[in-house]
Amino acid sequence: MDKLKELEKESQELLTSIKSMADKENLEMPLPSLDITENEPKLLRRRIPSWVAVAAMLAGIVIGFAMPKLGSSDNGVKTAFNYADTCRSIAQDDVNLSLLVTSSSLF
Amino acid sequence: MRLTADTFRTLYLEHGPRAQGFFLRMTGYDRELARDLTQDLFMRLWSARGSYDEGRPFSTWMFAIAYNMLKNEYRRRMTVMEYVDNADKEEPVTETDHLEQEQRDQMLRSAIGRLPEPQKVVFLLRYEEELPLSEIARVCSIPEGTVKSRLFSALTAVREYCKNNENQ
Repeated sequence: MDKLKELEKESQELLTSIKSMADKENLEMPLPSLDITENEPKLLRRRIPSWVAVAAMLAGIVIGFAMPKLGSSDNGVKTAFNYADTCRSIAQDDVNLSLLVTSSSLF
Repeated sequence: MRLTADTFRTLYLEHGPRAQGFFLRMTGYDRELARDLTQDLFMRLWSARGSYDEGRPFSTWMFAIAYNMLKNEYRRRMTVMEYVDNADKEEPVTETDHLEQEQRDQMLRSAIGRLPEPQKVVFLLRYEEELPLSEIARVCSIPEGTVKSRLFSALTAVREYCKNNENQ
């Protein structure tokens, strides 16, 4: 160790040059971009308890069956299932699917 | 200190240039590779933030992972990256005032570049990153005594090279 310390003392000027060269190089080169987000995909998909999803689906079916008066009975059944599906999708945070089902039930 | 996204971004700005410089010199001045490795390193650090030991300096954790990545890179390439070849491809300096300094820097780059990889890594971590010997030993997973002996050999070789080339 003493030998190393002695050698470092003797090489002080050289080591200072090496350090300043490295510092200069570090500053000259731009850093690549880095996209860091707090929420990872698995955290973004918030889970809802299954009983909430089931309750939402049942409510959807009940409301859906109450709607046939607005159209034919076939349409009423179809609407009920679409609505239930939408409720389930919303309950599971699957917004894309819920939008798809909602829009398809409109046409 | 919990590694939140904000904390991590600050650490990236503070330590990113050091990591990139370390990769740059370890890969023989391959700028593209150094940039890719830096980006990859910080993505890995972010993914592994749960394993970060708050009691230890961030730089030790960072360089330990960086060194492992380099070892994998060496293995992948199946060849030692030549420092001098790429160093010679650096853009020529046109300003006369800087010419002497640039020549000296070039000589230092060549001297460090000629070191065997185990010596080079301890040399860079000690004299450029100023890591304590104990932390270098941890980064490289070697005993502290080995760090000292490698440093001694490396510094002797760099001095020797500079002495022989200074007047050329």
